[in-house]
Amino acid sequence: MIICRRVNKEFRLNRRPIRVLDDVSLQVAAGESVALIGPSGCGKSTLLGLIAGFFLADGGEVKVEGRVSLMMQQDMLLPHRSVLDNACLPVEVRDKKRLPAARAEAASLLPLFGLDGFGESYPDQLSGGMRQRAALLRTVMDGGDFWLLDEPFGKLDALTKEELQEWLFGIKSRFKPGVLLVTHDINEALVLADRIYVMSERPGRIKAELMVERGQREQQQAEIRRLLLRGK
Amino acid sequence: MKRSLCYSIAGILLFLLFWQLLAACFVQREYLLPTPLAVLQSFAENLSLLLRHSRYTMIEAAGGMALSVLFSLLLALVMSLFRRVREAVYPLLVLSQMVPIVVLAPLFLIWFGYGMLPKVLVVILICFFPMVIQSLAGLSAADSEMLAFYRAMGMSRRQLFTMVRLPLALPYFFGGLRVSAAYSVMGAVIGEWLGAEAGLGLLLTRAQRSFDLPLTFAAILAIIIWSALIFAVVALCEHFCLRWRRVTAEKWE
Ligand SMILES: Nc1ncnc2c1ncn2[C@@H]1O[C@H](COP(=O)(O)OP(=O)(O)OP(=O)(O)O)[C@@H](O)[C@H]1O
Ligand SMILES: [Mg+2]
Repeated sequence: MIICRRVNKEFRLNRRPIRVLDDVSLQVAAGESVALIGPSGCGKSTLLGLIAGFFLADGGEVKVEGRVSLMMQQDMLLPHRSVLDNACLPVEVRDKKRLPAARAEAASLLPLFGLDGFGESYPDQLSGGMRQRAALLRTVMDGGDFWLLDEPFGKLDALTKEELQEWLFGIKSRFKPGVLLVTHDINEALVLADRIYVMSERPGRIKAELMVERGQREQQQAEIRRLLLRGK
Repeated sequence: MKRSLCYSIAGILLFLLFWQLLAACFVQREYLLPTPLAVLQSFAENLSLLLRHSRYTMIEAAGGMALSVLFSLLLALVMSLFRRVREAVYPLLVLSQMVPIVVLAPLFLIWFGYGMLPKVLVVILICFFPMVIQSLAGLSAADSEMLAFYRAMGMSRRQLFTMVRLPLALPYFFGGLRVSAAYSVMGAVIGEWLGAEAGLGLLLTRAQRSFDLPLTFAAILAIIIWSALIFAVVALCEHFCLRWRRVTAEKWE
């Protein structure tokens, strides 16, 4: 379970405080998929950072029960490690003995991630989208109880995106991780999430929360668009 | 790659040709400017002499380099770990480079005699600086966000260091090492120049005092060859340690 209760966060910019998160409350239950949509700069990545424990909230409470696997907006791949070595790094860090098995598993997943034949390549040899997929593979290999995904498909073409979304949907039902998905893509949120939070511009507040109804794609799409536009 | 090598060789040959013409047709006095061929001839004739003196110079240069590597890595490590040490030591480091070596070397001579030790000290003084500065920059190459990410992944302080910070620092370290490698033999020669029992620097002063310019240039040639050798060894180490960097270089070629 991830619980954020009335979380506040300020950053200092040229000595002046800027408020980034304003009384944000949200939760993700085990096995639940939640999407977070909001305009650029509203504090979505900051919120994920708080949950991952990068920094502390200025006010409110962040509670995480279970292990968190984070995929940041930047891929954070290590340039001196091959794709497979990067993907298996979380396993290597936690339990070296499991590394051979993890490598085999990661290697078998390469085709699905469109990285077939690139397992031994270095990150600098990949395109931006390929690096993103390698980072996603690393998150999957980490296999925590909660996956925090910060725009995991942001750099992909529509087709690859759909493929990976479909696959993520499949693997969710297999491993049952809790997912907190940050995205700008309303459709993606509606496809992947059970619940959606819509955030306001900075300082980020939760503007609305809605349950995804599978049969009402169009109405909900319009509703979210309206929510995002209002206040502009 | 092949092509650039051709141009390099062509450039050197052209320079030698120019020198040969200048010395043979215009200066025409060997005690002022020997021709490259005369230098080569002197090099061949004095080969055993050059080798004997090279042994000292190379032991000083290589020994000084090795000690500099050790010393600079340790210092960079301590400085990167402790902010206070860094702030206290950094100005001293920079200051150490502001005192001219030719002023310090005679002092070393007075303190440590005519043996190898003062020369090794000169080499260290010249070589450790680029390596410390570069290693220090390298050890902060992993930004705080990256470190936070890997800490959240569960890395211990030690793992953060060996798996993230150190590998990212390595290219910087090798950058410093290259600079040092190019200077190391020169450092030993400067040390010997001001007083020594043996070494290429001593041979140089002797040759110059007796106006044996072909031998002077032959000694210079030896210095160049040895410097290039040390540089090549460093480049080779880099080649094997930083395989992933070569890959990146290819991409942008
Ligand atoms: N370390 C920091 N220091 C100062 N300000 C920061 C820092 N990190 C983020 N900010 C500020 O916080 C705000 C929110 O940043 P954040 O990265 O959380 O936005 P975001 O919602 O993820 O945006 P995007 O959709 O573009 O990724 C930004 O306006 C940014 O300027
Ligand atoms: Mg962001």
